[in-house]
Amino acid sequence: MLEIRDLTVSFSLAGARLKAVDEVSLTIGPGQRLGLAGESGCGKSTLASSILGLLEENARVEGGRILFQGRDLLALSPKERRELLWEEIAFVPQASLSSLNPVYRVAEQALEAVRLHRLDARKRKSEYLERLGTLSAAAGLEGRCLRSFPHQLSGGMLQRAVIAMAFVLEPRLIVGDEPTTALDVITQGRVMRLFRSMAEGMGSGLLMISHDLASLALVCDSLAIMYAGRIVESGPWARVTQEPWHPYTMGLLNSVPGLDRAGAAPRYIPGVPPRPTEPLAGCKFAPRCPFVLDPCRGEVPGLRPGPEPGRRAACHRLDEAGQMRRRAAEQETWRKKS
Amino acid sequence: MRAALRRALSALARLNRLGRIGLAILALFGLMALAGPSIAPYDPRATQVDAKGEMITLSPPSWRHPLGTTWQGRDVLSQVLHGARPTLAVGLSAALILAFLGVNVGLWSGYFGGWVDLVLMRAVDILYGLPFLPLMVVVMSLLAREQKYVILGIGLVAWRDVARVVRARTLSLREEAYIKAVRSMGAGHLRVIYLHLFPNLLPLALLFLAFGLVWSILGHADLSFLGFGDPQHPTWGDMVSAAWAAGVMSEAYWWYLAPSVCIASVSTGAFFLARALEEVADPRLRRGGPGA
Amino acid sequence: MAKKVLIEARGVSKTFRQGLDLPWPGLGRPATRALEEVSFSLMAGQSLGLVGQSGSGKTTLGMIISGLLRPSRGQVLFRDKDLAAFSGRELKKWRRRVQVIFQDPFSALNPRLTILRNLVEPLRIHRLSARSEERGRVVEALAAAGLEHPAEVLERLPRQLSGGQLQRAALARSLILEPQLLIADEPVSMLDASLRAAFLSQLQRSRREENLSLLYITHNLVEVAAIADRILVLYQGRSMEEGPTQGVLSQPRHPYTRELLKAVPRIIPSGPPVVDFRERAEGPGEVEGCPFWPGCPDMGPECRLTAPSPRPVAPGHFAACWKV
Repeated sequence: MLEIRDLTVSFSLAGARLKAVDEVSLTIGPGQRLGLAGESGCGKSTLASSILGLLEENARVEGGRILFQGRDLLALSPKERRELLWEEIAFVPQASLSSLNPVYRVAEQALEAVRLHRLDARKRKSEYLERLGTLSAAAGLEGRCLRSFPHQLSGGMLQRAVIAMAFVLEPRLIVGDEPTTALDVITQGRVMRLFRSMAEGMGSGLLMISHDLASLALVCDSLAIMYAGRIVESGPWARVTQEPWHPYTMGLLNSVPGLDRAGAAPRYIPGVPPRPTEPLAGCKFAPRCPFVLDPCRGEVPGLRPGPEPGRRAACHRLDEAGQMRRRAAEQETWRKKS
Repeated sequence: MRAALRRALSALARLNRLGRIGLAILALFGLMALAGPSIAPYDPRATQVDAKGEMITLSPPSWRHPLGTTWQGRDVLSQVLHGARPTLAVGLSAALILAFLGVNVGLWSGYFGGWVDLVLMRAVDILYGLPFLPLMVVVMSLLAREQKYVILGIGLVAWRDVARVVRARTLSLREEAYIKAVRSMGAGHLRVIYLHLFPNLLPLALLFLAFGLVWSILGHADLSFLGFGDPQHPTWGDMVSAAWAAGVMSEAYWWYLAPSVCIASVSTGAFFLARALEEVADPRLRRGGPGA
Repeated sequence: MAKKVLIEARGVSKTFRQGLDLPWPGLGRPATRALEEVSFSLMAGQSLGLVGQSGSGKTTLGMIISGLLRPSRGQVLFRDKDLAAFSGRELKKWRRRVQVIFQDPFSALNPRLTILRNLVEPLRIHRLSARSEERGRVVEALAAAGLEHPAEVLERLPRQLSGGQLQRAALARSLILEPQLLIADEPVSMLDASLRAAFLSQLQRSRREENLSLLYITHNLVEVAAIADRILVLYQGRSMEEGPTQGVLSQPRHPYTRELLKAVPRIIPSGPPVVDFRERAEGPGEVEGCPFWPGCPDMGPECRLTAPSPRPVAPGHFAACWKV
């Protein structure tokens, strides 16, 4: 349904052109729920913006294609793209508090989106309202929430309202960018569960972008990890999280706090991701990788398949994944080498 | 202190083209205010006589008098050059007074809230009920027609808008984490207000300084036009007023055109600068750092 | 060596009213009861995790303990002396003892001042060091907070640093006064998930080196497991359960705590959480009764009538429930 092929996006900073997204390829089938995880600055939001045509002025697509049901999104005119947005692809942004206009009631804004896409909006207004009502109820929001102004609702309720709005036109793909930032765990659970049930109910595909694996766990069935503009691992959720192939994935999984490790010292990956201004030859993770060898610094590892079907990882030492996993479990392995 | 100055200069360097034009205009007229009387060809109050000893009245622009002469034979150009100083002096002084009052009242109102806020804002509301010109006319009639009263009058009345806006901004700034942090460190109220809140309001204050300049000049021009200016220091507004009083508006365009253009230019220059400062002050530079 | 009680909260309550606080009842606007009768005590060198959802009152409690807000009822005692009774000078001295780390690293430091100037501020407020020594002390504090290349960062503005670096700078700023109590209000919730563990480690390290007490506020029960000796669970302004971390996590005695534990997201296996409980309507509604009664599986008639106060269920472990 959605296929990204070798997408490269660059932006200009102080005269230089830097790559935010570097030859990324991804596919999302109908009904698939893909989680895209990575730290700030890894390029995941830029990727989302490219799909939606919301790139900033100084960002440019250098190469690649984004195929949505066979049509290249990058080749569309702004008018054609606008028609596609919300109807087929809906977007739930970060910080929903600022994505709703404070002077209009929530229901009005939802209808606005409908009005832009469906000519019969006026005639069938009551139908759409009803649909919105059903969706909100499914989100756990009472009718009065729809009639309220944004500032009268809490952050969690707003986020759920925005999600309900996204589903009104039954899009085929929903892109969510950090939808649960600043929400507490209980609300997070409710919001993510809503995403999942709606997507399942309508057969929509989901692309969830977040730095927090824990929140993605609530809704995704497949996982892709992004680092410094490249995809370093992808595959079904259960497999990637139980037996990761890439050292970065291992480190990320380590740093998620779990009850089973309550009281033990937190584990983390020392160091910081490379800045786009400092180009590195070879694997971008090499400076922080505890398993680095010389070839890693020389040649960029390509995203390639491994022993299991449907999974890929970008690591020269893919075959030793089992050994690396055992060592990665000890915080000692990750101690910074000076 | 040095860092603040450096930052102010860099802000000026970041002005867009309109802002630079505005700054240039203001600099030009500033120069005129300072050097005008020295370079004026004639005494603005001296009656000009020609070779035959006759008064040169209402003469259109010529080589001897590039901007023509008035009803009383006075050189218009000299009057314009002399008029820059009182106009700008009053304008700047009044602007400084109203900015100082407005910013301080806004800061205190916004920071303390409660009774302080109540009292100060009611004062502002009352002032809103007093229209500027009639009030100034009354004040000038009761006191004397001196420049300093004009300055005081304008400054005391015009600060109300500044106070409201500064108060609103202070209210939101007060809730920022870094203000809470400094308070929790034990900073006293004055320190928080002037060392921490005020620097964040500086762009806004400068903006109002520029606006204040415009308001003052226009307000002063209105007063002068109505005949309430200070006769010792004739301003551009006085010139327009005199032309109108002489009833020669349709014939002697040169008399009032020059001062009017000067007033308009200074106002426009100040507005350009204000707009450019607004852009610089805009918190578009808030979230730096890596965005994905 | 007996541990002394550093901070004690006794029956702290806080109600927010819109508009002026008028003394006549019925004349005021609708009020929000943020906290109701919360009590706890914290020893020197100990850490307490304050856990709750949004709206639980945890941030309000933190602000009251730090002195930025006054409680509507109840007392806060610092070394057995009531905070409300402190004189102006005592208050200023006390401000050195308690420092706060805020949630948003991007607004925790004054955006118009350099990092150096930001960190020097506490020294200047309390006149703690000569001008010539300021720089050295700041570099020392930044290094102790784990910031790499501290000398390079001094002249930068906050917006030029990343979230992780800023939060460490904020930590350095709190430590520079050598406080006795650190209040951390959701310090990692705005950091990338991968950076959280690193910051928590640093916090733990700094705490041990300076023997600080810590009040750690969060909505994430598991985050607090690594760093807190004791846990206090809040819900809608009331204390639900309080006790030693291991005890509360392994044998939660309050139904709400059990629900919170179920809500902890698990990576493996993935899937939506099984928890979802009904909550009391938001806004001024019923204020009597246990706040959790709409969602409690063991609810009984008395739960709706009167709110239970915490009762002991084990040594040092309390739960506010009629059913224990």
